[in-house]
Amino acid sequence: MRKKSDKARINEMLEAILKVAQGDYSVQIEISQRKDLLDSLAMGFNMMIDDVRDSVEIALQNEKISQMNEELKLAKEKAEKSDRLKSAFLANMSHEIRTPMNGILGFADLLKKPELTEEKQQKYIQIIQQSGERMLNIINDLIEISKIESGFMGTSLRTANINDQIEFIHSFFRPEVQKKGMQIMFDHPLSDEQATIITDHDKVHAILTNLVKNAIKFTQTGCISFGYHKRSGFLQFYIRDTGIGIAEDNLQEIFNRFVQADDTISSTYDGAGLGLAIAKAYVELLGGTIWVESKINEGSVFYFTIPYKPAEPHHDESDQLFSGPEQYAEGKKLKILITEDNTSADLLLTLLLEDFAQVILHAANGIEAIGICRNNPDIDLVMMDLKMPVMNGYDAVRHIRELNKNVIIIAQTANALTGEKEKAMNAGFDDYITKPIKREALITTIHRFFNLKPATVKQQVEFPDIIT
Amino acid sequence: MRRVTSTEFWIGPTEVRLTQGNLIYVKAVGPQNYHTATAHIGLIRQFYQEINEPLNFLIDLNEAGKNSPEARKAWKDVSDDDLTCKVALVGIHPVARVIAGFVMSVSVSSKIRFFSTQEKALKWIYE
Repeated sequence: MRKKSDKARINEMLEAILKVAQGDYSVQIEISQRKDLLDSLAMGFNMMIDDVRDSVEIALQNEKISQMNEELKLAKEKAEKSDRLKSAFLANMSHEIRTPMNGILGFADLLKKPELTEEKQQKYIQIIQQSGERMLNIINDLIEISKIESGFMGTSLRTANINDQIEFIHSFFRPEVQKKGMQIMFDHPLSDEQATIITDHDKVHAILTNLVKNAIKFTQTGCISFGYHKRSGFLQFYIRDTGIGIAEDNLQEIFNRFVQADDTISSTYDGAGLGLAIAKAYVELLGGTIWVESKINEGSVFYFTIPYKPAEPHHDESDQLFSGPEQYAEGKKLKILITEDNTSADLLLTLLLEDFAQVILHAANGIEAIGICRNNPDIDLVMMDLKMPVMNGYDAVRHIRELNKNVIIIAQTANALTGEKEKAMNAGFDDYITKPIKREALITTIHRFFNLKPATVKQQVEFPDIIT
Repeated sequence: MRRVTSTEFWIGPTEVRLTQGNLIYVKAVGPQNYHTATAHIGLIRQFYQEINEPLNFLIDLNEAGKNSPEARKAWKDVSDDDLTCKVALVGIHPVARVIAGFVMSVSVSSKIRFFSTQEKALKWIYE
């Protein structure tokens, strides 16, 4: 093989140096067998290149390690903060649950006093009812956040008139706002036809209710206004208040669960700190975004968007009354079977239903309910608990349907998870009602199936005193 | 690694031999990289265990190729070991001297030095 000249070998070194200058550390210079000074230069060069390449790689690795350390530090801080928030949440939740429990148990005890006036009795009952409502709200929030976190939350898209929702919320909250000496205003710029869109009606309602309720809670003077504007492909809602405002540092964090704007807030205002986290999750499920602009002591504006998908004009099925096998005239009383293993729940239903009932039968499990249905083919309505010993409501309804296809069977359960209603309807129930059973909801449900005149219903159910 | 006798081994083209006076002679041939360094270290540790006395090293670099950073790190570990007495690197031409310079640069130990002849190296080892 022809030996390279020294000039060629030096040129090769220069080429290699230029490559290294461009960041190519893979270059190496050929070493001849001469073992002369040029070879020693080449060897030194090659070994230096290896060292430089290693240094560069170490520097890159160090950079990655610093970055990871930084991320770990942030994650640690986040975890510690989350831990603190959870502890604060538990303390707050304990307070939130014990306060209404104190009202319920304390005033229930006072109700036992025989010398109580009618006025005091009513007052105590009202406090017990309000405390119960407050407990229920907390439990509902906890269930919602659990569903969100476990990924079970879905959407139920159907037509919804946004204007109706805005007006309903305005009417609903106006008395409370006026009681605080403030004003509440709304704006819905689209026509009813344009404002009828495809979305999850219940979630939009929940988001708006939550944000308006928050605005009222944190505002002592001034006014609250809410409404929406149409943006490209979206409806952008706003809820503006003149309340205490939120510090800039907390603007993002308030959407995290268990967080209120600062620690002092939770001791001043009621609430589990879950409302905004639920609202954010709902907005994101619907394909929108939520954010807030705020100034301390001046007020806040919460914004959220949802996709604008106009609905085709349609006839709302919910406006129609159920046309069952038999039309029930005003005053007609029903033969009712209550299937319930819990005695207090059975008593509550009995009291709620006794004014509609010609006769009320009772079963403590699915097997008993099937027997009663077999012996009483003229039963009009079955109220069926889903979770019972011996035989549950799902199995019972399937057997009852083999005996009687026309009887109205309404599921009632304390399990309010997503999908439960669909499961019940698929099993053969006609409708589904969740515990705690509210008188109005029960009446509305029965009214759907039996076409009882509302006036009659109202007159019939006004007087029962129900304590369970 | 190939064992020729109880005192003579070959790691690729490199010869490693335990000679009289607890001197390990290494004739490094060709490039020295991570794999050869690992084999050297393994063998040297074996010598340490068997002899359990301080060892000297005479390493001939005249036919050695490039020493990778890992190989140099291996020699640093050898020279830093308490059972290592002295490490003499030998090379007659400038290429060997450059290699030795790089090998020695990784160790701050005074137990490792470069010599142009084996005679000078052995004189330093046994002085």
